[in-house]
Amino acid sequence: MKFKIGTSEKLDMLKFKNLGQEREKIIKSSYTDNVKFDYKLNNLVKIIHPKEIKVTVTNIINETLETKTFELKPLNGTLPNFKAGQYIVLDIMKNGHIYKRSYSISSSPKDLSSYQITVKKVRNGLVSNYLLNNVKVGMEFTIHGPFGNFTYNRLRDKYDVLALVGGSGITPIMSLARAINDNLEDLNLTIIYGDHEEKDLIFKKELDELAKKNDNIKVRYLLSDEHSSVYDTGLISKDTISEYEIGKYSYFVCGPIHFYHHLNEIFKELDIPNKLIRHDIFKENEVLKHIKHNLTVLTNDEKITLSCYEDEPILQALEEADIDAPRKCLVGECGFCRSKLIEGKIRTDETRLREADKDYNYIHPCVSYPLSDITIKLCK
Amino acid sequence: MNYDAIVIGAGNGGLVAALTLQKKGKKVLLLESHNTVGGVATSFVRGRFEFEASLHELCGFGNSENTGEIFELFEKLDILKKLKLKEINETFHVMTIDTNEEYTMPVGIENFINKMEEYVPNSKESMQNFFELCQENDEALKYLNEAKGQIDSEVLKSKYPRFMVFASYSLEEVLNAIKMPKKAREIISTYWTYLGSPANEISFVHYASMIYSYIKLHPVIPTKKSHEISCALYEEFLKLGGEGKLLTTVQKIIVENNEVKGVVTTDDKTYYAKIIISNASPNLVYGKLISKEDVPLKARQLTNARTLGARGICVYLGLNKSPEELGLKNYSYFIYHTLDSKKEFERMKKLKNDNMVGVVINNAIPNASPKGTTILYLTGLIFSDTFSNIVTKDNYFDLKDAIADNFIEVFEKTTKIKIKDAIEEIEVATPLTFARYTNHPDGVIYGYQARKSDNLLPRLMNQNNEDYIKGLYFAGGFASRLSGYSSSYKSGEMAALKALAKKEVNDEI
Repeated sequence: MKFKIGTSEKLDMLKFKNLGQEREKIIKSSYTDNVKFDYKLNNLVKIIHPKEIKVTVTNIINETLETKTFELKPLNGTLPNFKAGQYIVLDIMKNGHIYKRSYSISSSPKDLSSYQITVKKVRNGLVSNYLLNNVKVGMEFTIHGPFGNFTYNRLRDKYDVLALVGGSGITPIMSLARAINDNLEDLNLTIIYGDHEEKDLIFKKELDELAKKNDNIKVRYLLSDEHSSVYDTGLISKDTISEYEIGKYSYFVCGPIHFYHHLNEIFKELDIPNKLIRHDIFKENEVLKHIKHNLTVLTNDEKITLSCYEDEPILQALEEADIDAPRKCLVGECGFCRSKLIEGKIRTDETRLREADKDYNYIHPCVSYPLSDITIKLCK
Repeated sequence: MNYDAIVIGAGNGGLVAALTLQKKGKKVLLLESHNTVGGVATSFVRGRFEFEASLHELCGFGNSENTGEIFELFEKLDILKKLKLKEINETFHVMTIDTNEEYTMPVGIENFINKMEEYVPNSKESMQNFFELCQENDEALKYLNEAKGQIDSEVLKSKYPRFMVFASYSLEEVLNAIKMPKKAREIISTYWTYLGSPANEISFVHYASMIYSYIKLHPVIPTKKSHEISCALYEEFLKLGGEGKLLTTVQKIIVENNEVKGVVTTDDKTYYAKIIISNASPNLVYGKLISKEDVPLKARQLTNARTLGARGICVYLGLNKSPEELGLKNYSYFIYHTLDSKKEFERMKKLKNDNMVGVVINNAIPNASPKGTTILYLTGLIFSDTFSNIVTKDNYFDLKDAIADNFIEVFEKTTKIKIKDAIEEIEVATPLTFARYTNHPDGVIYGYQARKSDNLLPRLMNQNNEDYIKGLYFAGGFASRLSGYSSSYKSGEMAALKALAKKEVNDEI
């Protein structure tokens, strides 16, 4: 095949040979200033997703006998924007150990001068009870985030949302209600809020006020341990959910893990598709301390051996032993604690593991429990 | 701590560079800021779906009878047998918004030529000529790659005479010269967005090498997402005794007398090595990691002379219906206003430009998501810094929603396929997301724009003159093979081999 591009083949070949020199010329004539790595977008990353934020406790509100809201203000500047439903991770020093715990933000995304988190007393709760008893106004903390996907998305979710709340699961939903009232979210929110007794209900006064003044917010309460003429009694049941037209609503479930399992059974019975269900769960790890296994931990620099109970999340054992393992959500969702199981057997929740990670024995230690002596390698 | 080599960043280029050096018996330290390896060659889980973060299709692969360079590379690196890759039986499928055109191109040269003849009668001869040139181009490039910058133009002249003629021209110029009909030129240029420059700017050599490898060899996709490849490379590296540190960020490269000495990480640890391969951009290395006074004049001039390439936007959708139920028949959906790449390139300097590539991964890997569901990702490009100019901390969430809205609306309108009601999971990645995970300048995903003197050949021909600091080399999308998965993998190998060759020469002296 003969073909012609330029005026002659010879010139084309010369042109080819000159490609390199041409480049040299351009470099030589380019400006000589220092290279600056100063891009608006890369700088914005640090504002939207900072590695950590130093905050101070500026106010403590007693919500119920067992619940307090802590107002956290940044030492410098303003806080990152967030979507209602997201959480922060709080570093807590207790008896010389650093604990990291995740808490949903309960305040409105409108006010970025502070975040509020609302903490409820937990039976045998290691950290929550410490926070409730010891934190005073003026104390400083380091927080991380906000993170999380328990947020409203108008493309995915129905305009009508039925929030099914158990106990302190009200915190992210409170933020959502406040966001609706502040015109930051546009949806029709109905909250069914279940707890033991009236005195346990958090934010009741404000929820009632919001429901009164905002047509897009409705709230009803369900008490399991108290009979009264004002409230419904019992647990959220198939009948409760069936009162709301199936297919019209997205369901936002927030509460302890057994609450979530209970509702999932109901969703299955009612044939409600996955698409309509979002959830945010929290776990209370009650360790019975029966069977103990050796846990060998490899980090970048050391090898440490400690012990871990069979019903204790591996991550919790690491925390107790002062090993600063990467961690965020603590419920197997975010993948940040991803570590490698080198040896031994575990019981674990694989639902959020990547397929290839399963092949290479990666695990999420926050939802993994030892069944034998084990060795793991942390990613750091 | 002393090492033979330190690799900064475990993206595709960094992973291959680290493994190549480790295979040669070197003591290698691989540092990565994130908690997983791969850079954007990774995946993430939302609900029941594991989303591929960036790979559309891997080119240059082929199979054991018809091997491409990436097949050979993975074989050399001993990871081939660990991978489960699926062939994709479609080169591309393109639709236009303004002109209502639709073309589906098959793999295989004969098939491709015949299909083009169907769409564009009398295109056959020029198409045959095109593939002849592609073949010569492929062989000449192989020679150039293996010559490691020591190019003998007499060899080129005698063995690859036509290459010498077309090598300095753009795709558009060469297609015109072989008298390809206009419509065929437009159709065959569909992949221009993969290289990030329009037909009049992208070099023929670069485009031909890419499309030839797609058409001649089947493109492939890993069954467990690109994360599968990243994991395999890293595991092999660790198995051979390589040392990897994740969640570890380099804050400084130590340079003395124009020679690298080591790196300092943000946790204030120092590691020493005489070879440093950076998967991070030259902008970051020269602009932040190396002290100003240690950056040579020419390194500054080269970096200042370059134009940043495309920024990416990706909408990841987990749909609760199967591809059949939805009517998604194709693997890819290239959607442009028109097939005129010059016009579209200009349009794509704006944020809202409607052009996108949709990929239905289940059409290559049926079980890529649970039964009865589909993963569809829609990727758009922006050829300017307009996103950075528009975005603020306060409008970021709304901007993401608006982008997703527009992508879904345009996709539905163009394909006449309804997807909105099936959305079970949705995630949006913007240039800010990419900046967060790669720290590339302005969140670019294509390195430097491939144009004029920054096209493939000038970069390859000058690669040896541009190692301005002794011991410092670059791998990844900003390096001499330009961006894209195959190029980045290959760049890692090239950087490692070059570093070793130079080290040997220096050691002898």
